[in-house]
Amino acid sequence: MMDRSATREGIAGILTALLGGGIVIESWSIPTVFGFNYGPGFFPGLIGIGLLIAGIVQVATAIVRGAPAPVPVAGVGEGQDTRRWRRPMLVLVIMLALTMAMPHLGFHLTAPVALGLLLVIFSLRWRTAIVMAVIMTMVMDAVFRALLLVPLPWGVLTPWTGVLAWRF
Amino acid sequence: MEVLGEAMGLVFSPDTLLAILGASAFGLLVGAIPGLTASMATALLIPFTFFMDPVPAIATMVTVTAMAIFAGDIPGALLRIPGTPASAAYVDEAYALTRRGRPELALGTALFCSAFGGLFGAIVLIVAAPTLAELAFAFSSFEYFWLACLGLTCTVLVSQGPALKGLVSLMIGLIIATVGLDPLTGQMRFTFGMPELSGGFGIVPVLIGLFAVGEVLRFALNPVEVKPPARTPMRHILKGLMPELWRYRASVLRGSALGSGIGVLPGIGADISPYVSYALARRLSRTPEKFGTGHVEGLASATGANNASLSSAYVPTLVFGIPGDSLTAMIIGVLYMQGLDPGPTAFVQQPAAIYGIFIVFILANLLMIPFGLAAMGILRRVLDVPRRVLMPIILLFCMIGSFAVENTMTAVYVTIGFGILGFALESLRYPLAPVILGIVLGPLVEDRFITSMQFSRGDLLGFFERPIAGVLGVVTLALWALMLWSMVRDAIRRRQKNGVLDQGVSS
Repeated sequence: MMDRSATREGIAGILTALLGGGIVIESWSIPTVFGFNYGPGFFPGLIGIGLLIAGIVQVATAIVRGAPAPVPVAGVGEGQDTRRWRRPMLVLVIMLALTMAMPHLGFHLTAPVALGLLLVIFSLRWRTAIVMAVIMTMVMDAVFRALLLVPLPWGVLTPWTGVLAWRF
Repeated sequence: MEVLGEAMGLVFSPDTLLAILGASAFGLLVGAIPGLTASMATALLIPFTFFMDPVPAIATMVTVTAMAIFAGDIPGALLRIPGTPASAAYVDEAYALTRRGRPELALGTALFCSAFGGLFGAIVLIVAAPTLAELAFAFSSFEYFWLACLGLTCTVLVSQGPALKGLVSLMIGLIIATVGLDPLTGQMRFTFGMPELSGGFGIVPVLIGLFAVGEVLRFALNPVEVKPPARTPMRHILKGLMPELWRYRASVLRGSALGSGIGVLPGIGADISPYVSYALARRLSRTPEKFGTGHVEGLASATGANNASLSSAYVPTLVFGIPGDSLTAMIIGVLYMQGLDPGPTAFVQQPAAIYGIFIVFILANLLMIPFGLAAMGILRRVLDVPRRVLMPIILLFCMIGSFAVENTMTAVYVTIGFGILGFALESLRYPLAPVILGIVLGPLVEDRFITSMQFSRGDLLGFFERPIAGVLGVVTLALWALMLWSMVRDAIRRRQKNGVLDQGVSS
């Protein structure tokens, strides 16, 4: 039976080969243009073939090796509790929620909430997290909106933009 | 002379000086925090360069990398945590000095030798770049294609981990570069009907995602705080430093020269020069037995080489548009963003900006000494800042920084996507540097490859007909053969080793 490290390498190889295969199929479906001997799919097709071969070699190596020399993987230690994955998953969910909500609710409402939640997820106390989130939102507003003139979305606060922009 | 005066004017303008000052403080601060890398510091500053003129923008990039790489030696010396992959070469030597009660000697050596090496590399850059630029005018698509291939091959060879994984990383980068409108035929590729992707992925969201968001996600998975060191009493940093460095002047000079030489090679970057320099210093030393016990000679040689190669890596970057590593790849992204397309024509069309960049190198490395000395006390305290407070703030900066460059939420989605990709690749031990070099060099490689294929009418021998192209092609193919041979040899060795182990278990 293959150990976890070899299994992981094998899965990575399969994914690489699938990616390569997908790229080859997609590249071949791009029509060539009259007058060009080498169409827009030629170069990506070559890369796809390369990925396909590399993936197959990886899978073959993982199978032949069976148990390769254990490699300490950064942050993905053997036998570690799957609950550890909760934190990065939550971070991703907050990032996506912030990105989706910001155009509608505005930066000034969503950023402190998202940052506060992130700080709490990273084990900071609620009270400290709220204070830091509000302060950092103001700092970012000052740097990006006031200094660099980035049009940060105001969202639902748009009717009060004039007053708020002046206040900040 | 007129150009030099114009360049001086560009560099010594309030904008540029302010940018250098800000980038110095930021680079020193971020570089000194254990776990935050020079790549992250550079990626985080890219959105700000978007709002600057070309010379202040490049000055920001040059300064932040130089300062962050030096500052990375501080957690290296005090905590045995290397700030960059390159500084891992001498981290044990520096830490051994700290354990012997001489942290000031370790930090002082790192500071002065980094600055000296950086200046040495800058001089090599100033001398070599214009000469090579003249040569580069004679290059056709064949030479550029092989040079880019050589650079990419070297990146795979020197990246950490198995070469196959480096190769996969590189191909992922190359394929990412093909997303969007094909420049030759104007057809869409891999956009899956999304008009937002017609221009391809923006380099800034990609860089921020790969290097900064990926790092935050890794910390979220494994939130290990580095315990601040017991405050080792530190004498004045300059006390007894100069006689010590003077004793090893030959090593410092040799390390800087070696680092500069390695940095000039396309695709090699700054990562391997400290290792080579440290090994050479040990071999040529009169006291090799002292290496590993806190010996200034090895530390001085390796730190000098580190910053020297960082400066000279700009030779292939500026002359051919071929970056040496992920840091110079980011700089290329900024150069393109600023309309300063790297290549020999930049030396003719925008000489003031190019000379301005040269002057910035000198200035940044000179400023490293007073800034480093002044900030040393503060930087030691930076080690105490908990990363669980910094990481969420960095994450929000990443997202707003990406938005700031393109003023669209698509950029933020791209940042998140590439953050996941960077996290996944690093977790599986795929190096990130080839990905980013693939993204940056992908359009150049494809364009030159297709053009060359058209010229040679599909005859691959045509790629070797011109003398320089032939030499570059043969060298590249030889490196490919070497890479293949090393993969096969490793597989055979591992199999033999497993066989011996199996026999041992069965008997």
